[in-house]
Amino acid sequence: MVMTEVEQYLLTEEPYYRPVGNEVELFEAAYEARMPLILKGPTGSGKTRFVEYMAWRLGKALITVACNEDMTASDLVGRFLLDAAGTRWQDGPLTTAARYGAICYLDEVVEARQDTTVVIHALTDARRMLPLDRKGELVRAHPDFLLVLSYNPGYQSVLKDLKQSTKQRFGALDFTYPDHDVEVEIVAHESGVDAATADRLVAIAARARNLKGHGLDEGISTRMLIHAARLVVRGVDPTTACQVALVAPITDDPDMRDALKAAVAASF
Amino acid sequence: MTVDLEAYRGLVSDLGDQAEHVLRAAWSEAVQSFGPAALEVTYLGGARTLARLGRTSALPVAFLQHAPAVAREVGDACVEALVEAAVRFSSKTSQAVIERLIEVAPIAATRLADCDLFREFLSLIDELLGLAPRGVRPLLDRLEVLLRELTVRGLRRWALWGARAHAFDFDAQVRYFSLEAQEALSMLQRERVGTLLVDVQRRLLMYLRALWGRDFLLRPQGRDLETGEQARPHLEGITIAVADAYDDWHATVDGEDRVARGLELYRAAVAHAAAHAVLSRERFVGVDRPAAERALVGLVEDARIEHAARSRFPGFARLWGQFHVVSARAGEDPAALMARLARSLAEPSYADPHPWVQAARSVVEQRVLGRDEDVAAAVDAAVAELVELARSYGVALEGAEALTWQPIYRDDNAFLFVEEAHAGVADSAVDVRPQQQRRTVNVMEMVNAVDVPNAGDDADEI
Ligand SMILES: Nc1ncnc2c1ncn2[C@@H]1O[C@H](COP(=O)(O)OP(=O)(O)OP(=O)(O)O)[C@@H](O)[C@H]1O
Ligand SMILES: [Mg+2]
Repeated sequence: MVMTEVEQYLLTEEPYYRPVGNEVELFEAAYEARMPLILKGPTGSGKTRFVEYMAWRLGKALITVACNEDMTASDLVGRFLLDAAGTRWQDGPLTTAARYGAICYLDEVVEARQDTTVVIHALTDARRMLPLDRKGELVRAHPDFLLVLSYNPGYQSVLKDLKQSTKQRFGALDFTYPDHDVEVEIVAHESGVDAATADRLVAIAARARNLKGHGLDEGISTRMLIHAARLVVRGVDPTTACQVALVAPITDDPDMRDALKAAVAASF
Repeated sequence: MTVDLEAYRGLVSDLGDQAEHVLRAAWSEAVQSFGPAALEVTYLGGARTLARLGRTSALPVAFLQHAPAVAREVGDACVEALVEAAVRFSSKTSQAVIERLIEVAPIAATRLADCDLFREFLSLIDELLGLAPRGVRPLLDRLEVLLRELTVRGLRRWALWGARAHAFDFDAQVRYFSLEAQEALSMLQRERVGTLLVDVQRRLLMYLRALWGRDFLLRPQGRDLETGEQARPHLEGITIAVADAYDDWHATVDGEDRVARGLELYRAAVAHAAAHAVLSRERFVGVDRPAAERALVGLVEDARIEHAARSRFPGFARLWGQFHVVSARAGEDPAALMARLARSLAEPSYADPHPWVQAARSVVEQRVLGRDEDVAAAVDAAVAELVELARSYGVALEGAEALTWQPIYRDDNAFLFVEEAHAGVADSAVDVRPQQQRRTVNVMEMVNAVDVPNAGDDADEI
């Protein structure tokens, strides 16, 4: 049997995802309506994991593109390559997803330049098509195709933001840090740490999140907590694990470091 | 708010071009630092007063330039004090020294960060102009270095020592006050303090915000002039008044040295006071109450809020516990017994042999710890029992003033007591959110406003 283009992108195992609200139902409804989605939320809040889980749940392939500022439209759409036989067209990830009906996830899409992101416009309105100007082809999106973007609202600036004409083509799901108990569950599951330690770590994160906007640009994410918990599982004492995985990475401000360190000390 | 400089130009037009030039440059900072009334009376009026002191415009020019920073750091009342001081000093010293004083006033204001302490600084200069007139100028020149190492009281002791040692030798005065003399440095070393509040207050405020998710204010308070004792922390609403400097703390416990850095002592003090601000919601009858009973109320309420805070922050047991150094060796006078009871309640593993301490501990544990409703009634009942127990064990409690036996980090508990009428009722004056404003909003604004994610206790408007 020949593997179809997108089969390699199918998830074989169920990713662990702990729903935080009704995001699973909302995503399913959006998918049924083929409404493209933006996942908004701070770094490490579970956006990527969520898309993986939804792709698995819907039985669709998932093609992920990490966006950066050097990315051009050709990196998404495709380009002609030179080989022994002459030139040959190579589909980009967005084209592959549209052609064969995968979910395409553009991670941190604000990082890409605005003239790059406009290539998605025709795909995300009623037309659902992707013109390949260089190749002279018009790709009609496969019925299964869906485009999902991720976006960290903390980082946007005038220069780095989506155009209104882009934003308004999407529905949006907000990701925030989960409630205490849910986050404890996630941290314990992902790291293997005992519930009591996970509980303390999540409480520390809540304290650090009090400082967001008061000297910290971002709160301590679930991802960071999992890192700290994994160190604890490997025998690092909790205070040191917090220092290495939570405090040191998040700030270089000596006062902030001292305050966080003291808050950690108060927690154990 | 913009306040138009043109409206005031007439007031300063006779001070010369340079004054006008400086005023123009300083104007926007001045508008932000002074209230509208003070802008005219204190700021521009101050410049006019100073203009009359000399033949040149040097004083008003320096004043127009530097007064806004003083007002910003310590308030416009301090700027008035500065002008008054300049007037007073003009009969004792040269215009150049006064000009220098005005130039360095922002340094003093920034380092001292409190109007009373700033006034103390001015009165020290006043005193020195009489005792060591040649020393003042070099002292002002070195002020930044001196205040980095010393509190205003430390500066005072350092300066008075030099003034007395060199009362009749002008050259030696200059050498001492410009820090050229070795003895000046060794005296400085002696007066130097472990940790100054100004240097750590930003991290302390962040620490408190991390712990409680709210903002507090820290205000420095100086040592007692006569005794040299550091005043106890004192809580008022969300303002915690705390020592302007803490030396590293030393004690001997069971023959072993125990040391805590100044910063650690600050943490213990502000964490305790903040726990009060958050958790001590009820007030107690203060009038007509024997001092020993008031002290017991404070002791029991301290134990209650620390117990509650420790269950959220287990690390507080260590933070506070290190400062409880009393033991049976301290004897059985009232102060020692109170301290031993305080330690028993702060440190569950500590077993005190004294029968009253033991009995009192179990009363408080059963009746008060873990309670957060009807607190005043429970505390009062427990205190009545402790007094009764003291009588039956023949223990005298009179004369145990709280301020002597309480561990060093604890506040004076003054805020706990009110006049009869309001006792027991949660006191709105101690609402920890006095910065919040009430205002009317239209419905849509409310709908939008309520839905703010993460808007917790610390939201700015309700
Ligand atoms: N709801 C959740 N269920 C399961 N795991 C979660 C959940 N939220 C976060 N995680 C864990 O946190 C880690 C980080 O999440 P993820 O990588 O999805 O973040 P992200 O929002 O995509 O971050 P970024 O914006 O930096 O890409 C995941 O690897 C996963 O272990
Ligand atoms: Mg107290």
